[in-house]
Amino acid sequence: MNSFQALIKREFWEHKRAILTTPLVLCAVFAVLILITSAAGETIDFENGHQISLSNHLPQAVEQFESISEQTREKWMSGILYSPVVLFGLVSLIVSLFFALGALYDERKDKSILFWKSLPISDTQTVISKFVAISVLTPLVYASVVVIFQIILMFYATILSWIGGSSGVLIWTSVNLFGVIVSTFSTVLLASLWLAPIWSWALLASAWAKKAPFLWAILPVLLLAYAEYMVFGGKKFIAMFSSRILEGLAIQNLNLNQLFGEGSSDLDIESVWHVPLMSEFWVGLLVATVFIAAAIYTRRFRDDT
Amino acid sequence: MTMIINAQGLSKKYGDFQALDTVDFTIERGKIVGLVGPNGAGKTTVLKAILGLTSYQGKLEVLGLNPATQRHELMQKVCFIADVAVLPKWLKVSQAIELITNVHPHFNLERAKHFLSKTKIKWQSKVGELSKGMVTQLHLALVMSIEAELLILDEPTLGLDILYRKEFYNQLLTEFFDEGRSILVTTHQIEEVENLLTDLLFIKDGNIILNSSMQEVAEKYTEVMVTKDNVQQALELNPIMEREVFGRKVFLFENVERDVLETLGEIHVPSVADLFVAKMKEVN
Repeated sequence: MNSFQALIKREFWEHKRAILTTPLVLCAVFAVLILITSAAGETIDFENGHQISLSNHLPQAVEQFESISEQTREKWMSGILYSPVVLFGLVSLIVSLFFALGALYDERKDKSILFWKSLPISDTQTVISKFVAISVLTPLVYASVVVIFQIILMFYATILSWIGGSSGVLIWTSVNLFGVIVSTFSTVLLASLWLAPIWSWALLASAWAKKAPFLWAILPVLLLAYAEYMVFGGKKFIAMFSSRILEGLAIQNLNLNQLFGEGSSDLDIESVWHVPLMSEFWVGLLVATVFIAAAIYTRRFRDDT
Repeated sequence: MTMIINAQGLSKKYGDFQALDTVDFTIERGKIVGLVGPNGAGKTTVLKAILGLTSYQGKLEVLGLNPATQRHELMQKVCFIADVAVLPKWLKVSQAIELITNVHPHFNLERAKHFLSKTKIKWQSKVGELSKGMVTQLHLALVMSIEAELLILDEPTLGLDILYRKEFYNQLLTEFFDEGRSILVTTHQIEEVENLLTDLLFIKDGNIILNSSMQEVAEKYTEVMVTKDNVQQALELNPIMEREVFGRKVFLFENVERDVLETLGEIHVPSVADLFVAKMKEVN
């Protein structure tokens, strides 16, 4: 194993709870919740007046599900499968943010930085490994757990069909599960990379801050916005900043938006594969590179241990 | 003998405070050097400069490398323990071993297993679950398993009880140290390391005020327990320090013939601690 992989693994060890345990617990909690609510009798309203009541007559419900049009069925099945992305995706972004804010700060706070610096690992390797763990590893693990949840949902729907007297084959043929999985991974990962400037800015704040990295991350943004407003009377910077975040969220939930959105998405793209073709995507990565370089420099030369 | 550290005109300023004032010194391979000085004298600054952890002015070469620009290469040959509580609490022993195996080209896994088997440290324990003494044992086991050319210890036994401290230095001598390696150590407990050291470096207010081998120290400095009648005579020889032990005067002399001193009373080689106190007062 090369040292970079070892460093990624080290980040995983340190943040195992936030990266792995949290989504697994969420997954378990929601799996149980769905069981309870369906047993308690919730009804699902489909458009065109279709209504499926899970509580009383399961055979009837299954029959209803199987009688709606193929298109509607696919739409609703994919909708159900993509819906966990909203919550898991949001949690993943929050985890990434706090991960980044602590990444180069905690090691100075607990003084373990002197141990890390006693190993033959350059600051460049260290900071890049942290950035990759934040912006790639974290979303990939969260997406993996979403996929686990999606598979649980599929099996759960199949079992309900069985109880309702059907073979359940229609559950599996109604939707392209493989396509859903690929799409889940790509939206969650690309959303995270879209937000790379945010992660790397937080990393820089965490390398810089003597105390309260969160304030160091947020205050310059607010000050800049305020300065722009006072000097030019404009709000372009804060608009750019907030739309970047909204666009990130839009990429993450692109699949749901396309199924049910009314075209009010913050980002006007047809497919998630268009994201890497956008210049804004690459400009973001370029900005991230600058912040990462500054974070490396700060970690290398700051002298307060 | 090859030189492994060569500092010429090494200086460091923190704002208006001159932490190091154009210091020159060299350290040779196969030595155990004690860097001794009061708090704020510049010990840690010297170590940090050697380890490439701080900027400095002047020339500094460690194992043929420039610590300011070649830190990464340097850390393959140099190990250090900066403070006892420095290992991260979340790290498991097994993870620490796995990580260092993967990132350090000179880490010897078998040696690490050997050292750890002699302790009560469990493979699956987290650092945060270990006692302070065990954390130090672990850190030392890790560091001694790295086949480094230079080991730097900054107050390695701070906060440890006497049993651990003794064992720490014993292990260091028997299991790590050999002709090809060097150790640079700072500590406040000079008595504990004095039998270990081959060389002494005293530092005060950013200046090196003593730089010699223990052998030279023994030849140059003599402590005499002077009988009452000879006190006046002793004072005329300009002792660098005097103190009283059980009502008898003890004088410390620098560069005074041993034959002369023997006539004044019982002579000893001074302890490093006494020599340190004398040298610190002398410069004032």
